[in-house]
Amino acid sequence: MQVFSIVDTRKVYDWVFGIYTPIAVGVIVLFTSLIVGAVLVYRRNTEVSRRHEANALEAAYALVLTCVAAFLLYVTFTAEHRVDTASARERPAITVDVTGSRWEWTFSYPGHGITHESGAVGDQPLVVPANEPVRFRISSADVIHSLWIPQLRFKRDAIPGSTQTVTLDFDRTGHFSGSCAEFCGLLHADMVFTASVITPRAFRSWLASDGRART
Amino acid sequence: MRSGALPLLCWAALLALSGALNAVWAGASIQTATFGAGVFAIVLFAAAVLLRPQRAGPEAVTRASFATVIVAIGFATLMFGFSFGHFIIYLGVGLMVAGVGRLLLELRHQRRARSQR
Amino acid sequence: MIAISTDHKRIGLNLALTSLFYFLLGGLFALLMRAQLTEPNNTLLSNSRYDELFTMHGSTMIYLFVTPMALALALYLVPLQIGARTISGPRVALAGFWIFFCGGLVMQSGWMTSSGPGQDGWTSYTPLSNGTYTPGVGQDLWVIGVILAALGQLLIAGCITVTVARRRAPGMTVLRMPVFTWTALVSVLMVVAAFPVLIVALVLLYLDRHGANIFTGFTGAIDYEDLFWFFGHPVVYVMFFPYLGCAAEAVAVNAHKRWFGYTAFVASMMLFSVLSMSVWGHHMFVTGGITNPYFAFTSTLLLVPAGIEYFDLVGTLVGGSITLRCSMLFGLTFFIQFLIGGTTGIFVASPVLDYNVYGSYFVVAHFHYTLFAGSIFGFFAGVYHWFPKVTGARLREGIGRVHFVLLAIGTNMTFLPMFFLGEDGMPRRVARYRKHPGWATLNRIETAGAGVIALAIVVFLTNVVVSLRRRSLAGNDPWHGHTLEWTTSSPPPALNFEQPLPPVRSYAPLLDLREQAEDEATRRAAPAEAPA
Repeated sequence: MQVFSIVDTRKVYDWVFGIYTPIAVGVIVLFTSLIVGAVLVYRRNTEVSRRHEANALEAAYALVLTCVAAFLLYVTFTAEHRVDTASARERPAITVDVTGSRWEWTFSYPGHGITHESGAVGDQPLVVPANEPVRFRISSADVIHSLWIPQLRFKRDAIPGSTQTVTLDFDRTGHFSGSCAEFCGLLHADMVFTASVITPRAFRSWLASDGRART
Repeated sequence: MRSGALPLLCWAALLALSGALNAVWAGASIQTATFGAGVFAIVLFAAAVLLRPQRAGPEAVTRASFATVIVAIGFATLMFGFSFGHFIIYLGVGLMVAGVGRLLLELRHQRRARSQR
Repeated sequence: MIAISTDHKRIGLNLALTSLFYFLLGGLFALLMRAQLTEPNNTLLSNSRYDELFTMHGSTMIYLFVTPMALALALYLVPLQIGARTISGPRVALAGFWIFFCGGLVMQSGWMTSSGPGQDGWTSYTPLSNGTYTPGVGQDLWVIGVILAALGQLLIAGCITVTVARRRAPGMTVLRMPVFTWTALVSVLMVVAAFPVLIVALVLLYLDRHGANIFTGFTGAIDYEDLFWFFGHPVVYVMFFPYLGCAAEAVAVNAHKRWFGYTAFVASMMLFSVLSMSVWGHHMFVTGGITNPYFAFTSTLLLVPAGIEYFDLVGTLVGGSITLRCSMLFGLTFFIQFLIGGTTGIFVASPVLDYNVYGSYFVVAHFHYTLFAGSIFGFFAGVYHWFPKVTGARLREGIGRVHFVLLAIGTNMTFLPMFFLGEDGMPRRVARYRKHPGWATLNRIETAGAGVIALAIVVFLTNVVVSLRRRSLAGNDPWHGHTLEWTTSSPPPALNFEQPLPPVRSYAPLLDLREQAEDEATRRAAPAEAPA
């Protein structure tokens, strides 16, 4: 397994996806060719075999399948440990409180007096530094929403009555889109925002200017 | 045909096993409760299969039952009434009472038919 | 008489026809949704109309078509396959059908209210679905409709359970029950175990909508999801196993060979169904409210029993004598396309992968590959296989092939692009999407594919009408079937069997008879050859 200096959900996702996909494609190709091949070979075959059980072979095959499952679970558990457990130990460079409400995302930076809103009415971005852990405290003011940033390959539900804490890392600067991934009513499709990822230096001066500096 | 309860009991046992693993690993009481409810429902059916005596001899076959349909529609009407005005609930109750009455007659006919054989 | 008959075949047929109507209705909803999504930021439908459509599409398909159709097939076929004359609790089954029927009407009656029908998705998560955020009688009608539909199906499933347990023909031990009967049995067990929990959850939701404050705060939201998905995931498999059984029977009969690896198959069905009762939490990985590793463990383990089914399929084909009738084409394609739905299911069983794809079009693609590219193909395999038994007439093979080709093309056009859209960040349940490179093109392909599916369904209905109008008579056993339903007339008489049943010595009693006759023929032929 690769070692990540800081938690990078995108890299972890790509690592797992990169292992699962070839296996899945292999399984699909293998069985499709077995099925199609058997049909072609045994079409209009006249000598019908009466063999209808191969329990030893099935048991061996089940064992192989169990090993595959064990391997996939090892990969998944390792990855989940990084994303869910190890990330919580990171010391964040900044904490952002995210509140979902119908149909807005509110990003506030406690201690800095900055609040941005994006969604059906506003379009102020979520501003974060690149290559530094950012702690998000996610909650909801009304129904269940879900904060999704496809660039990070990550989402987490915003559920009323709780605050979910996640630590994420943006590995590059740029503007990335985000949206709500849990249906929340009429303007669900409009609950979108932009994540502006800027250099740590630019981020500090943005904080110092109380959010007035251009991102 | 009591062996028919076997797959039910096996299945319930496996489900209980999975529920036990869930209880140890996840320990969420609502999840344990749902597993328990599932196992209970199956065990109930298995018990019915095991304990209800199998009648020997000819069986009086029901061909049709108007009363059953009235009871079912009455029940649905009653439920519909909860969101659509209370007078519909009374209508549903009325249908159910009429249906149940007819159903009792039907069952009595069926019992008689069986004993006359 | 048709409406009040307690004959399991009549109730099964009524249930199937009702479900088929809802298939067409749910399909119509899907076509409207696809029309809306053809263009980014399209204004064809309002947001609220779109929300109603996706809610009612999912609800209609799941509660009123795929699940009840699976039960209808079981109700019709299982007693015939196990050699029973009647079912246990015929009145209960009849009541079940009518409660289900009324439930469908109640659910759809929301369209006629000013607040519209259900609009919170087929899952109806609270707090969104409580009285504050979704006021109005339409959502109430949805809740009551689903309760009734679920209750009706529960009653029918109970009857099938007891019938299988108590009414098997002499000689038909538990380990001689046909493959379809086994898939039906584990499905009805899942209904019996899981549906009461849905009914409880929805009754509580109804009370909540009227001020009871049951599902409150974080715990309340998670509790509802737990209760809902304890039903919601098993039902996915109720919508799968019987169609697997259909495909398996069609494949075995068309390969002229009994289904391979019966013992392993039965064991894997038990394991498959119990595991699938234990995986529901993978719908909740992103909530932060459940133990992800347990559910990742159980969900990933599903690949073991699923793998066994594929082994048995290949084992059945190898050494067989394969005829590519329509039922076979649909049956084989069920297995091939389900590979995509199944393997992507292992993807979403991994929490880390689910953190990205949950709530996106990837998930929409995944479950349509299991339910549409899978179950619906299994369903059509069953239709082409048993249509002659039910009606006495065969479906036309030529029209059937057109139906098959169109459906296979349309299905993959519609659902394959959704994987890429979801991976690329398109959320599901959105009435509009932004201009984004590639999205409009993929969505247009999907809409065109939906049109092809609609065309395929029209061809299928035409086939039914043509085949019933100008009948090609089937006789008792048009395909050289393996199981007891093929010994009786088509359609079967009121009490199913008028002739004495053949001896049952395995899960394919009719094939046993044929093999026995074959053996005797060779034995008789052998001495004649000996002198030479």
